[in-house]
Amino acid sequence: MTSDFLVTYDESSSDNKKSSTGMKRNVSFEPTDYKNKNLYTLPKSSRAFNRQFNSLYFHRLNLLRQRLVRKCEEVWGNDFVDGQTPQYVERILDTESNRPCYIIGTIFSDLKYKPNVLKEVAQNMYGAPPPPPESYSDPDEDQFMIEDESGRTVLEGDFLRKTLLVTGNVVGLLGAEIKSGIFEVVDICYPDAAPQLPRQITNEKFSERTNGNKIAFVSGLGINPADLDIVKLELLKNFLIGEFLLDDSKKITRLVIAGNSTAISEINQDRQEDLKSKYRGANKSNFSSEAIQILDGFLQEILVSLPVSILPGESDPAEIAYPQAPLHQSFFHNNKKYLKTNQLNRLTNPAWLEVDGWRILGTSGENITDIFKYVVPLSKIQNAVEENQKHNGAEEVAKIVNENQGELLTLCQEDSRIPILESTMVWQNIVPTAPDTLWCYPYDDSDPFTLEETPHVYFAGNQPKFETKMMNLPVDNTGEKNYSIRLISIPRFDVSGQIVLMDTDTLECEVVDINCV
Amino acid sequence: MVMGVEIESERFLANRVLVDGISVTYKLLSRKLDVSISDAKKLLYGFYQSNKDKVAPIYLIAGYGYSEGSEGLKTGLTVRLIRDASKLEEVKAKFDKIESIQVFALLPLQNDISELNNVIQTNNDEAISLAALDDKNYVKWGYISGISYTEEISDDVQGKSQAALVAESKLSPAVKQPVTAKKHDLAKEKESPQPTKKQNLGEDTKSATPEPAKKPFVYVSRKNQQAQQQQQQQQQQQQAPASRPSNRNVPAAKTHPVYTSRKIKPDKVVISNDVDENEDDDMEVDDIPKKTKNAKNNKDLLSLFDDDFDDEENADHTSKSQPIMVSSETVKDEKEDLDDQMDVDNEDIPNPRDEILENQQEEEEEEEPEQPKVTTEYDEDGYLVTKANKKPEKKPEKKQAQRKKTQTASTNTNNGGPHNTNKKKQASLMAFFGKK
Repeated sequence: MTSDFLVTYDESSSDNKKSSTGMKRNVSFEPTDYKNKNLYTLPKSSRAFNRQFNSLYFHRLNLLRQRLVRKCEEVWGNDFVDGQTPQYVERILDTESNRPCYIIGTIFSDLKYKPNVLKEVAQNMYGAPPPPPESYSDPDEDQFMIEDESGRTVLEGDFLRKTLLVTGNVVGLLGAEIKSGIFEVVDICYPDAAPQLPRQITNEKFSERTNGNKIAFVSGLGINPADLDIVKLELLKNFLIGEFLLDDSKKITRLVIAGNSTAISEINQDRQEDLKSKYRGANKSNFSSEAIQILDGFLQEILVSLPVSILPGESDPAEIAYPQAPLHQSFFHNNKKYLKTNQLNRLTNPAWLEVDGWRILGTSGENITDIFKYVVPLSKIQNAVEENQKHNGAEEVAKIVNENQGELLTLCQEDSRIPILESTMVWQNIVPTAPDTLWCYPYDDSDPFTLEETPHVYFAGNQPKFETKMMNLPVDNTGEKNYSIRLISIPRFDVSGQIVLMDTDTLECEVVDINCV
Repeated sequence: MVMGVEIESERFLANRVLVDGISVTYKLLSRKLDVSISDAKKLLYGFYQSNKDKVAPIYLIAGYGYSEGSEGLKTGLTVRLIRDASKLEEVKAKFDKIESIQVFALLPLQNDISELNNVIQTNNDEAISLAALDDKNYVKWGYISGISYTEEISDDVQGKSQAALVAESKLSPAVKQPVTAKKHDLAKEKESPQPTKKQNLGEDTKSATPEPAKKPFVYVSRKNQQAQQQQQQQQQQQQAPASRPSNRNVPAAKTHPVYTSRKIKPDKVVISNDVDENEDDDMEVDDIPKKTKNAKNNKDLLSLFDDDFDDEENADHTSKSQPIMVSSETVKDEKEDLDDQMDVDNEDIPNPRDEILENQQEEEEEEEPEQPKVTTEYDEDGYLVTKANKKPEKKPEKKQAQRKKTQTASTNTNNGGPHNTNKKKQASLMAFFGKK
């Protein structure tokens, strides 16, 4: 029966003859309870959405101010600006004219296309919000400010054009007040990195784990019953449960689905016809129950063999505001026996995980996508570049690019999101733009988005392409000690057909491409 | 592989692909013949070799160093499904290292290869219906077997109730129980064997209920059968009382869903029976009849909400506050209709609606539609769950409320001028905002 042509697993790899009797999946050490497991779980009964957001900002500022004061002192304490040693001014409004100083506060970006509820009210705009713009920024008209409890001052300086700043960043700025209410920035300082826990390998059970384990990350399954690409989903499922008889499949110890498992269906066209009851008609959901059923069925075959963690995303039927609550358990009717086990983990978005001792932080990518809108839009730069290419040489073009967020922009032109993932680690806040441009719960006495622990692995789902980088975050100014963070940008599966495998021994990542030709 | 399997495979494939002209995937073949997927792929390939002129294969190729186009970036592991077998060589050339080439499916030659979605969907549906998805089968079919989830439960014991554990372990009889869990169950059985039996019985009946609950969705011509059912009921009533308990389960289950069919989805009913009852408040749906009663009330509620934002509503306030009068004859008619529809043995299941109707007849008064008590609470995930309880408000309170209403209505009319003018002012103010 066998032939030279047909090569299957048991023939090609001589060391593995298990396929006829079944292969055993590798095992990871995953504690049932770990630190920050419920960090993004909102209180069950005392959710108050009627609070103001200012307390969130002030709490964030207070958390990071202590770290910044120490760091700014170390960095700028012995510097000279215009022959003078800069002094720390505790209140922004207390800065003296033309006297070098450094201040600490929260950035506010007043970008041209950024949604502004006050403008909408002033312009008498009511109803549904307009579709979100591709980018909020117009470099010619953008304005940045810094604020603290005392007030707000406008920022100026070429330095700002080279730096990515978004609303909600807590930073230290070195400079001087050149005019009343205008602060010229010379340098910027970010908070000290939060401590990174050592790998949690002390537990006895850790010895039970196998070597060469891999975590599979997938995002953006985008199940849409109206336009379902069942082939890709089937191939993915078959790969994960080992139907392709590949050695890589059995090394996967957990599948992490990072959001957007379902797609939002088209707005109900028949809505007008169903307005007999004005509420029943108007409140029809755009979420398709069929999509959820397909997802449930998809997981049903996987869960027999492979543990799954699932985060909600912006196109999933979950809360719209960050942090998103786990997908409701009634969605998983076919898998209800796994609901209370570690086999099916319904996670919040963002969420912390702990696998094989690694502390993993991840989101479904909305935070990164939103921050990307603060980057100078490509079209603006391309226009400027084209204009200058006609009259000037390449140097002039490079200068333009450099003047506009420099390296970051160059990377983002190539659809890279890694610089933004890096930035969030440097800022020590993973969702700084909430609540300004990303809806979030009005926390009263905490800001869980501010890092109080630096993760080992940080991933974001639903990004344009797969990227990964081992980032080194300096612990102090000497640069001798760094925290290593594995950054992963997970592509949308429905577009790319790609999933990411991360080795839990080395944190090396590889992409698996599944498609049909 | 046993020789018999090969013959059986030849027969099955020939019938399905050559005679019936239906595609077949390795997954379906594996489950049909109860062989491993590896063997199924080989059988497919063998069949293709002997029938090359009649069937077309869909290949699956996996390997490393795949590059798309001349400047394409090479990726890690790449899996490609090749619809058109003639392109196999072309795709193979793009790989640096090929791990495996497998036959994914066989199609009759005349089949449209672009409809791969349908091929997979139909084969999967058939495959799933053939055998259960559990650990034992997964091992048999040659899939990767993971940790049994029941082992995970034994790790989680601290945070879970014993009842939940028992329930979960019973959900999967095919899965091997860990030693600790077994000991635990045994110990419990020794302590109290009878309750566990009862629990089993309870679960059995619970698991049996969803089936009749689904029937109304298929059932269309209930009215035509009403006469027959009534006759049956009468016969049952005439029979000895000893036969009643056996009848209780069946007709009750049949008759209740008459009211659920259009309002409640079967999924919700099923979920309510199975998921951990200790923690999931929102998953608990009390009884089907409760919902059915509330369905009508909800409709009334909705219609109430419809009127909320009408500015002109204030003008009609006095007339609305008066009770709606319905003659006792119509109430009787309603009752008869209800009885015809429900087909319920009145002795077995007391009908609260009948009681209410009787009260109405006695008092010869009319009431406003029942307002269900709506309670909202948070479940474990923090979702806000709204429940409507069927309990009707106490009669005396209602009466008092009605009296008060009529009194206020009458005083309003008696007072006349000033009140009315105030309301008109208010109405016009609201109208002003409404227009804006």
